[in-house]
Amino acid sequence: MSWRDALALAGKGVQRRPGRAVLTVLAVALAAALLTALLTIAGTAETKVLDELAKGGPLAGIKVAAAEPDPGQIDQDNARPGPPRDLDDAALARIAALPAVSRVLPVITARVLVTAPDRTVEGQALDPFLDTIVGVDLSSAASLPLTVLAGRLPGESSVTEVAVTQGYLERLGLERTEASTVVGSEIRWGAGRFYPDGERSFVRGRWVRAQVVGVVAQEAGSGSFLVPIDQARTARAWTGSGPDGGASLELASSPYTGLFVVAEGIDNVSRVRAQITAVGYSTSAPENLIATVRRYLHVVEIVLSAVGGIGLVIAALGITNALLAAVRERRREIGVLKAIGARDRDVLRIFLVEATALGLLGGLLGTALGWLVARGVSEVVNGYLAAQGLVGVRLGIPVLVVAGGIVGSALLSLVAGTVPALRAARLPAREAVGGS
Amino acid sequence: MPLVAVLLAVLVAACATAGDQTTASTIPPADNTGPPVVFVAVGGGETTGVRLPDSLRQSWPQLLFTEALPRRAVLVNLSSPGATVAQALDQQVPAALELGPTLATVWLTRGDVRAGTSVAAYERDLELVVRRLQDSGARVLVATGPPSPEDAVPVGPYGAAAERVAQRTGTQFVDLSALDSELGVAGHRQAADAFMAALATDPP
Amino acid sequence: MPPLAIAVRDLTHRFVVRGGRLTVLDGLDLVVEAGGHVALMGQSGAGKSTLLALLGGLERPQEGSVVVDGHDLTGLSRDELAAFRRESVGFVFQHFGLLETLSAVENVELACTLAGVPRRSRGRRAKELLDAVGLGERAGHRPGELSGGERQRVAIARALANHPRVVLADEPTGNLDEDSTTMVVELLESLPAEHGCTLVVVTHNRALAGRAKRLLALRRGNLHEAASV
Repeated sequence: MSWRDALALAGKGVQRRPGRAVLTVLAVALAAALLTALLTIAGTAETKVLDELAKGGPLAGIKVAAAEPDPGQIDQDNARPGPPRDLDDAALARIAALPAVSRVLPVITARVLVTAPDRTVEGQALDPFLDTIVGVDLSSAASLPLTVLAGRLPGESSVTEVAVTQGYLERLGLERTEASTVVGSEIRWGAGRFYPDGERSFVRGRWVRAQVVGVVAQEAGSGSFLVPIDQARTARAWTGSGPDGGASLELASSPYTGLFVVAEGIDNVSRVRAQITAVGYSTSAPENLIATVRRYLHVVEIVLSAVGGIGLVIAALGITNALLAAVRERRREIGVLKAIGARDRDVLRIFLVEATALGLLGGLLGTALGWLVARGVSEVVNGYLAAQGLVGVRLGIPVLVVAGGIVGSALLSLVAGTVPALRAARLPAREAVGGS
Repeated sequence: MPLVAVLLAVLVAACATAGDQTTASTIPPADNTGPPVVFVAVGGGETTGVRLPDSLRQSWPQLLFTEALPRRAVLVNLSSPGATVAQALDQQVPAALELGPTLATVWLTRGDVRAGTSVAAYERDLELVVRRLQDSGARVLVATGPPSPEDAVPVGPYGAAAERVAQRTGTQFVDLSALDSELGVAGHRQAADAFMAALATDPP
Repeated sequence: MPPLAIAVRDLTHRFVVRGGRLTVLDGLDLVVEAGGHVALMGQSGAGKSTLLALLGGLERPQEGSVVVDGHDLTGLSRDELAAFRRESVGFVFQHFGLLETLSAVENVELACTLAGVPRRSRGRRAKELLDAVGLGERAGHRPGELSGGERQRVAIARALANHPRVVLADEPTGNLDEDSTTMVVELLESLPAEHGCTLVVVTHNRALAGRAKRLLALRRGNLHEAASV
């Protein structure tokens, strides 16, 4: 008897008890759906993180500061006290030339006096305040630790756009959920320059206006305002152009406040950090956090797989049970099959095919269902993320999970069908006739 | 269900670390085209806004900067209270020229009135101030204001001298002598409006 | 003397029952010529079905020898017994033994499949067999849609699918009414002549038994010649 004949006969066998077949298929389908949904969701989350790591995004970034930590760099996890070393173009070139460095993004900050003309806090005009603008190369925003909470980032060469941070929101007494209310407003800031004027001396502001185009969470530098690097450079140059070189205004001598070094993937972060430390700068990187996140994701995946796996095992036991019942019911029929010439292995084949077909069908249905469930969950999650001002996820079709779900269900059912099929195969042909 | 919470946490973590940009850009890209606009204000206490509670918002140069100039403009207020024309020529004008101004305002009356500068010397030095600023390519506006409440000396001759300088140099003259001598918040508002009106007309 | 279809010598068969072993067949001898038609009678539990199962290779003989169509069944493996059944024997059961989910023609085709009939000619062969039992018109019907007599005729058609040398029928009319019985009896009776096979029928039905050339009675584990036609 060929496999094709066995399949046809198994199909007919299923028709004997369509209700039972449907329930068996549904059990497998539900288990496969559970497994597919869980793995699709976990896989999407992990893929997203791993993508970021692989392409050397912000997670593979290293913050570099001058060797002598200042109070603003208290979070340096390998701060090495030593003489201050400026981060200048030469240092940038040297670090950029290190092996396994993907790119080096300078960060320039400048102290400015800020006025927010149309902003009030509890009815009072917001007092001018000293703060810091953080200038970065916004054409490489994807490599920087920036998250847009509302609106967008400033244009990379814009001179009139700024993104504010939550620090600014706090100054205004706004919640994070109200972030979008500051988008579109205008702020002015002036970088100071020291002017001696005979006996007296003055600080003159170079005032610029900028429209708030977005609200960001940024870790590139400490300051409430994120701007294209040229804006910060101009402001810094203005302060530094005074006869005192900016010393009266406590301008740091280092041209760059910091560097953001992107390693070629997470695995190179430690190595690059060691090299930068050897060059003479202190660094910090979220690599320990990333490793933890990866482990965490892995654990989640294992747990989810186990949950889905248990479901599949239960479904497999259901298949075994259904087939054992079928074998019991069809003892005489199996005997007749043997009487008219079927060998043991023909009978084995029929029952194995039946089990596999049920599993395959359940796997197909379940994987499709599971993917739909995952989509539903991702819709809910995206709604939540959108409400939080975060980027949504795009659910891919994980080929491995889908293929695994279908093939796995079929294989598991095949295994589950083995005991009943063997039992059927070993039934004596004598069952066909009555008597003892 | 804790599982759902775990999934949400994982997804949020994935997204929060991703650093993508949001899809919706509510503000259209700024128009950065056009020549740079650099506005320098040369003057004394009237330009600094010494009597204002919030000079960074209420002084007329800030009002002019905010309301009449494109957003890409830059303002540097070089004025110092009590400055005379001679001091301005010595200190403020070189600083202004460094900036490559495209618009410059000159309002210097009270320092010279108080210092007792002769009208002739005032007129001579003011013309030098204006001409140097003009030579750098800036559009220049010359203003004169009301007397200081403490001053007994009439400011009329200085105002007339300033107007003659404006005529000789072909710059616009902004007559603010009618303003309240206290030059408070309302005075600065009026001064800003007068400068804006002058800016709106073509130079002579 | 025509060749022997069945030669059983000193066949003893026992069942394990609670408290010991029950001897069902005790040194039984049976010889049936090719083309013969034998009826087996006996009381319930006398071992008729067991004898039939042994003759058909459904069970391996415990003692003695069973040679059917030249095959000594005594030492055959399960697969060899299956091959023997596939090639040499056709069964007709009291319970018909049709697969309920298959139509009449599909039931016959299944036997053709097991008999190794090529896929292309299975349908034709099955249809011919159904025509031969007068059920060509009902080929597409499932057993549940057929009467008892019709079902048994389908079973007979199926039994012929492999051109058997021996047809073994176990109470073929046991579940049939009188009209159906007549038709089935006539059909069975025609088999030796039309298909050249040997027919062994286990029955309680005297009319059916009466049609056989030899009538044997199974008593106390052995066969006794009851009558000869």
